[in-house]
Amino acid sequence: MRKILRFLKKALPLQLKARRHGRDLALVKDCTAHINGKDILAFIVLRNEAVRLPYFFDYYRHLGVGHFLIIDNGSDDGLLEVIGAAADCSVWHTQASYKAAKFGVHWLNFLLRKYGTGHWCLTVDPDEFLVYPYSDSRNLRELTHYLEQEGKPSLFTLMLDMYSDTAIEQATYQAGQDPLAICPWFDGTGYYQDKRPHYGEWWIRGGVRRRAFFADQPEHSPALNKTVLVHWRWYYAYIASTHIVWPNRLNNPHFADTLAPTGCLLHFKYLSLLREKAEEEVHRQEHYAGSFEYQRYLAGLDAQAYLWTSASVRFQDWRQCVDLGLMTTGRWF
Amino acid sequence: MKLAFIILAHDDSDNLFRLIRRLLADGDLVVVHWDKKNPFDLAAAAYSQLDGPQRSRLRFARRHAVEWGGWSMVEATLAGLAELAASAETFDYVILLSGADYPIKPLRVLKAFLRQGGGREYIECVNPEHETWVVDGLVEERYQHYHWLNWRKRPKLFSFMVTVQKKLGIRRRLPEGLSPRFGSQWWALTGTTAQQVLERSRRRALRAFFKTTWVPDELFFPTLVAALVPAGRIVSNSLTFYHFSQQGRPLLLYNDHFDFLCQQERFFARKLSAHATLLRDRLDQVLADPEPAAPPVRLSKQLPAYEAFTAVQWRGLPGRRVIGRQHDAWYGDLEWNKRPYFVLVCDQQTRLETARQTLNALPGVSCYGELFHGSHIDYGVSGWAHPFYPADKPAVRDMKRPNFLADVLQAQPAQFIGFVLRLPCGHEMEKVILFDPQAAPIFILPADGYQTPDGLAWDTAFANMVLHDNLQEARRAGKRCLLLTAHQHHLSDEGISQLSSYVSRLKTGFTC
Repeated sequence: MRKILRFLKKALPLQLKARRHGRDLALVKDCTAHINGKDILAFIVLRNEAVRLPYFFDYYRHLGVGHFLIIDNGSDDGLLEVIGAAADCSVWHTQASYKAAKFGVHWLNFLLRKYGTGHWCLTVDPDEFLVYPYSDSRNLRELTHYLEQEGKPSLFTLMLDMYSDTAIEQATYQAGQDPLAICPWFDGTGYYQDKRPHYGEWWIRGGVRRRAFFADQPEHSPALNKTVLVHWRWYYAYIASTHIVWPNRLNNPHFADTLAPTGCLLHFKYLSLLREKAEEEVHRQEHYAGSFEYQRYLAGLDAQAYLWTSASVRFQDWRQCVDLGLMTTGRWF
Repeated sequence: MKLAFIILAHDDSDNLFRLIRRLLADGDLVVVHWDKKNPFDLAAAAYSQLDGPQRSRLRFARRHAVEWGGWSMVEATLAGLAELAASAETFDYVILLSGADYPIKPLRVLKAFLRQGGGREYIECVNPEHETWVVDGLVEERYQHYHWLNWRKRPKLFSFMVTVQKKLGIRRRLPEGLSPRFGSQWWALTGTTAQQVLERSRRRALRAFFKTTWVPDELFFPTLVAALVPAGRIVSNSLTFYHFSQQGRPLLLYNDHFDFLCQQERFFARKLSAHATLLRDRLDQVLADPEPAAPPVRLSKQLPAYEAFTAVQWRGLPGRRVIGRQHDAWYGDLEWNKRPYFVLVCDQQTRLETARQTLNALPGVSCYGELFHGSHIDYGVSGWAHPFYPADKPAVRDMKRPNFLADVLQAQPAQFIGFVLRLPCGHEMEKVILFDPQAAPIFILPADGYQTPDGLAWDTAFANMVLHDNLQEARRAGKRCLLLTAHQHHLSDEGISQLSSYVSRLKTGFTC
């Protein structure tokens, strides 16, 4: 009984908030009838990221995502034209505050409950590309089938910040381009992981963000742990971006006795697109801690920061991530 | 030689038709059992998927709703056999496959192999009294007890029933004086034996008994074949490659398993992922090979690749960090570090320039300065600093010092690395180096007067106490460490040569 009460005490407020903020969303492109019972669904919150979408769609369609559910927070860059008539995309539009919706989390939880229940759900940003063990030869359906068979409801990922060997603003990106061709470098070492007691999540900080933008205050460096792929149930909820998900067991990267597969999330933030984004976000003040992170990026851009060093590693494939100890295959042969 | 295949399938009709086309290509027969639970009309789909001559050699068995572990699995197989018997076709062998299987050797090679074998039965027949076949779980209980429930649906009640029957001492015997045999579900039987099995299976007592056994498909056919055929004609092996993980789940085969499958000395593989189109394409190339290699006679499984993988990967690679697992947060990444290093532990005033110069002159040795200095990182070896940890930004290092050390050790894999640690340092490193099995501490104790940097005279006793406490603790932890004495903050020439020969000796034990 006490267990049930404790469960409701946590689950209900999260669901109510999601419902309240869900009312902000207006369905502007409805293809949800095409969602198939076994589809893997991708949930995305974005603002003015249309330039990244063509490649993003290609990448995840190839991995086996069945439907994209996009929350557009007031874009003015022709998002709907880019998406066109694609039958595997549905778009919700809102002008409401990103910050008030706890940085989009309530919107996501709303859609996840409504459409994601029973599906494997991938919640990523348009600049994040998932790599997992055997991702070059096995699709997400095969991965999720394995996880399901082993009784694992989620996939843990480590975010790898990718960068080029030029100054950030010289790494220009054009629509449809593979960002890996421009930003193939990342930090192979320099990560710090720590288990936090409240939600039991592994809090990982480090990489290029910490050394290049937060070297004087590394404690404030943003988290790199993300649980992006979850076999959703109605009462599940993201707590802080995709860094923390409730219930706590979903934050567990591994089994009690052995390792489970984990992934890496290649993150392409440090491109020429960063300045425009950073300037807008610093001005809007809609991001975490008064867009503190974006202020740092702007300072870095102004200083013509080079992120590349002689210790940087050029990305090859998922095997390299396993060899570097950034990803595990578990017992998935 | 003509073959007849029985395929048990329940979904994924695309890959099923692909398999059917592949099996029909050599003029053989195929009978499909399509699970009754799946409403898809397979027979209708066959019209669009297959051409006339192909369809004439394809038959559909009477459909049953198949449940894993239940009698329905045997019934589905028997329905296939009955369909074959009704077809009035002649064939030499009946081979049982599933819809997720695929041939890995050309059918011509299989036929040559069967011809050479001279009409033997290929079915695993293991006598539970002599050998263990079931790795983990129920063995004799499968037939000695009554099983009315499916473990997959009611696991707790199922186990309870087993316990109760065990307590009651229920021990059934097989009917008709049969002796139990276990074996894989996937077999290849001669046409005559298959016919005999079918006839025998019509006996009511036999059916009634096996209906209440657990996983009868792994018991029914081996038991009957062992009773019908002299032991000399049974090859207790399967033509199908299959493997079960330690958790008892079948190993799924993916696109990247092509080489692994080519190593297997079997004719079919189970079970292929529904999405492994590329693997099927590549296998098609092997199957179309006009001059195939000699047939695999040993029917053996080649698992070294699989075993090597599971032995290493399921606990993480040795000497590598595992993301999301840590046994002792205090050590950070040093927990995974397998690279030995040495530490010159001394007080605040001991001068070590000469000693470090001597050590750096040794081939393959790098002795840094105070890596953990309060206000900066003193790399001390000219020309090298870790690019992620600039000397003037110690905050990143101080976030987790053991991780910094592990990164520095990893960045210079060919070097035997050491550094200076002055005590008291006020952070965890003074303890970490005592308990880290890779650390070799070298204690340099002051023999005389001692002053703190701010001019306050402390006595030697204090410095000795701090250092000594650590030394004692290191020894208690079973650490071998060198003890040197500094006179007036300097190591004597003798001390330095002692130090340098000690480090060289440590280095010989250091392999990279």
